[in-house]
Amino acid sequence: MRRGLSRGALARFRPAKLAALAVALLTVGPVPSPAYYHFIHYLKSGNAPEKFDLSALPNKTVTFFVSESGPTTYSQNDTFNSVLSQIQQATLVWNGVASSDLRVSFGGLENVATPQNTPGGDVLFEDLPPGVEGFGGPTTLASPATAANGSQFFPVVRSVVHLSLNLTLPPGPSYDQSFLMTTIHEMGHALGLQHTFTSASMSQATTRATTLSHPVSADDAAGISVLYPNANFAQFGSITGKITAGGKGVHLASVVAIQSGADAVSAVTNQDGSFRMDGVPAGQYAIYVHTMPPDADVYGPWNADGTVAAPSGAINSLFYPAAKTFTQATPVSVKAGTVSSGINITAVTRASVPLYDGQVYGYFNNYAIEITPAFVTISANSANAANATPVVASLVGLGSNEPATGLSVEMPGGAVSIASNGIVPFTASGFTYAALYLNFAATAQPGPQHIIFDTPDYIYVLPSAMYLTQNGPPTVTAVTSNGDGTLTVTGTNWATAALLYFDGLPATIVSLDPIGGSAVVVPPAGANGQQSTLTAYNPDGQNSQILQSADPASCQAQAVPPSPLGQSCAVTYSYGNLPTPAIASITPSSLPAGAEATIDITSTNFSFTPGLTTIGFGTTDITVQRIFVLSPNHAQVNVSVSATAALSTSDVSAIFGFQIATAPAAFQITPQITGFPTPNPSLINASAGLTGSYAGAVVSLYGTNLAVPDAMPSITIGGQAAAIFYASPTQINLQIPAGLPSGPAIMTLINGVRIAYPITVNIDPPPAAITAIQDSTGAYISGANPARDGEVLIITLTNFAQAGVNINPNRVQASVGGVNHNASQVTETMAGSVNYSQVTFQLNANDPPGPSEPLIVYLDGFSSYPAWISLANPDGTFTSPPASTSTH
Amino acid sequence: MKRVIGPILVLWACGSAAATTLQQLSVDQMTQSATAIVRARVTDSSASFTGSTIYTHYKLQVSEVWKGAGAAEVMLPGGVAGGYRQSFPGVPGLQTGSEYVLFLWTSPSTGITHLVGFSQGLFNVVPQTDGSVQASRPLIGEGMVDARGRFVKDQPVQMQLTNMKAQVRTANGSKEAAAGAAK
Repeated sequence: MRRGLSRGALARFRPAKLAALAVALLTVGPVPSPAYYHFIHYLKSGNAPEKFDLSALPNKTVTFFVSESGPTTYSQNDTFNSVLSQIQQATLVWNGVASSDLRVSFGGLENVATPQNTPGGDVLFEDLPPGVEGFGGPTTLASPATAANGSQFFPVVRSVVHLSLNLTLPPGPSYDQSFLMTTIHEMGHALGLQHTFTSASMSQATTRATTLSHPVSADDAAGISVLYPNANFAQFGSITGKITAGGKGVHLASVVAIQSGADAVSAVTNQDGSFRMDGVPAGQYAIYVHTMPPDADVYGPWNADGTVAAPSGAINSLFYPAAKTFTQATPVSVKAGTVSSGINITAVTRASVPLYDGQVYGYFNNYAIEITPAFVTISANSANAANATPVVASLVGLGSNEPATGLSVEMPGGAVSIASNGIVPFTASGFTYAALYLNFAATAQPGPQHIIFDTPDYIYVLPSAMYLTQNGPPTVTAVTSNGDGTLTVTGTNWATAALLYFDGLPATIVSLDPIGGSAVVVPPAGANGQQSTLTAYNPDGQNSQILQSADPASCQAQAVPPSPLGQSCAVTYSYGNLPTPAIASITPSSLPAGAEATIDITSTNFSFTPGLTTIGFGTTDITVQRIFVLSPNHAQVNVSVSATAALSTSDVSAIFGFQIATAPAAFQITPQITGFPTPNPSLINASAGLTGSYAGAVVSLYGTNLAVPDAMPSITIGGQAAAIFYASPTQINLQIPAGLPSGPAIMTLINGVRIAYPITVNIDPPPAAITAIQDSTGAYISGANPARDGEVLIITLTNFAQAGVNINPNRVQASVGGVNHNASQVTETMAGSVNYSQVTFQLNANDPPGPSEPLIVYLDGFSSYPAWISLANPDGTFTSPPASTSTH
Repeated sequence: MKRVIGPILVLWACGSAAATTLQQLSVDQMTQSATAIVRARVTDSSASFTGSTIYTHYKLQVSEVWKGAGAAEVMLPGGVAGGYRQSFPGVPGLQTGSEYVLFLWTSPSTGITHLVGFSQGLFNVVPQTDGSVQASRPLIGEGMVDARGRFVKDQPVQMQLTNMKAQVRTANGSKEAAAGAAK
């Protein structure tokens, strides 16, 4: 038996080893080649993945709609409303990948018969054959397209997630975390990702280790970002190399980078054995290669003639450069924006993959409750072997009724080790398992723990095999109404950042006392008769359904809770009898293709809230640009109708919390009208250095057909005429009428001939005003006392921040003559009823001298009104030095 | 076949468990849920849209009908049609010229004949050197649960064709007997 590791990762990553590495660091190219396993086609021009064409998506956003004919069979307490909430949450998860340029949104309900031309996604509930609960994937053009950078790809025109009509079977019920994780997984397929083997969201269910608290792993983020990279992707590094066996490149081998206590990242080899792994966070990694398991269920890749390019045969798993253990692996350093190259591994072919599909189970309630991946509470007493914490490993390949001879286990990082004689194979029902008894180092910290299973013949690595935690799972013990719209929820083992969910939606937490186990929350808006299941989620990945049944109805039906399986009943909250929400009016109810307009929506029995309301028009050809909530039952929705929209009649749906209303066939797209004015619903401040569209600001309005020859356009905002300074067919410069209140306002445009559809524009609050400029001595800056390079200035502003709110200086910049400076200090002072903010920054040599340079202060990018400052050279002059000439 | 973890262990679908897309079915369960079970050779395939989904239609030359009235084709989601391609990881593909035992289910609402449990309902028919014939299917990787929603691992299936046929007849007979008794 292998003893547990006694050295930490830092000890293994010695500088001497690093120095010995022949790792070249190169600049990351602007267009990463495919790395993660996508839907890949091998063309003569290179690898071509299937992916959405961002230039064909409005706002680079793929919108998912859900078929209005939802599931037909639910578990008790489950509802379509809850199903929709989870699907919406899944779109938010993929939308939240910061290094991906692809945005993902939830569009509400649709009639699947509605013709649609704009790429998008659908979630359909169907009569699937017995034994099939769901599947998903992209629909692409069969021929490749060429991107602006010359690379080829197969454009995704539609993606579909098919789920069963019967949600009594897993992944239902929808309030179970597994429904969300399944939806995220299938949505990942729909966006262009295939399976990976890193316990990520895109890993198969057997090894998946993601949770609501950590729904997307570093590997998932890398996978989506390789397809749709944005500027943030440059903060990651890359690893390249080649995997060979028998002198030949190994095709479709999985190459994985792991470091202790963090997510794994992976790539798949090309036909020649080469690989490129992108999206790797900076750090030091052990790199290993393994053959995909025989049940990998990957699709393609395809040769240019459409045939499938077969994988190479099995190879032995190895760490770089040729090690069987994590400890012996040579660490590879990854830095942001660089490529660590030359990571070549020479493997040996073998007949088959003998170990795969590992799972590690943890236990609660005296082994009555089992969970995978295991959550293991760090135990202070574990140094004593008798107190070691058991988990059980299950792998395909350990055999049946066999002793797992020679099995050893390695746990990188030194936080956990195996107790003496702590690997105990056993058999049950003809299969072999291995109980692992764990000791914890004093330095053990919560987080994922990888495990390497080593047999005399083969090694198998299971990333994030289990999670170390400080405490056991949370519980919810009760919920009571406070009579004011808030509820008090009680429970145990809550973290400070615990989330409290009602079915598939989080409650708004007013206050939370993790020690006392009590929280005051505002529940999501409920539906009539809804009985919501409450679940507490801790950031460590544990949730209350581990100890409390996910099926409260059947649990409570038992005579004597807790259930025989050791789980107590989940707590539910009844919303009681509520009026049914409905859409009352939609104005206008039709628009031509290519139109920009505001649609006025009124409703009954809703409680629309800004930022939390979804209004959809049942087709990806209509993009909801912005929703202005005017009252709980009144919203104005700015929409763009695609110029290439299919002519259709579609559903309109409104969703807030669990409140849903649909107006079937309530909106129509009509043929495009040539020459119709279409203003974009954004007003861009036209003054240099200023932002915001506030009353009195001079702004630019862009669009098409805004003006026609020999006619003067006219514009009103909020019913007041706006002064127009410049007009062309694509741009109008105007002044927002002074005195307009901040908030949404209807803007109308007549281009001289035709009236555009009204659109809603947002009038920003008046900017902050600079009231004083002082140097560090308190002297006011003026023409007689100009500022100078290097001087510290203190700017006093009103209307800059709310009274009593501390502003982080990182949010504040000051611009002098167009040169930006970061604030070093921001303070707030009340004088009477006026809150004064003081921003401190230091001038530098780049600042242009002059008797009257513009000074603007920004908070989160929003500008103040400008002021003017005298900035002198050291000799007191205001003249800029002559530009130097160069003779290169 | 479900793997049971150990004497101290009870599988249970907990909130943090992973998800699935397939429900694990035994041969008996597939027999009972199938509307037809046939031994057949795939003679041709073509793909076309049904609604928004591309299905590949596999033409079947049926040599034995073990249950139901047989079937002329089976449809599996995915394929290339009309200039479009749909890819669904986890959906099997059939090879023209190959022989299979297929557990089929025809949807009463759409009329589409599917494979029961996708890969679970598809067995390769492989003649052995001793003259016997085996029916087998490989291990399936997509997530699987049992009827109670517990996450389980798949196991490859390999058995003599004659044994499978007998098992199907027994399972089908017991269902029919139960149906008869109910009448």
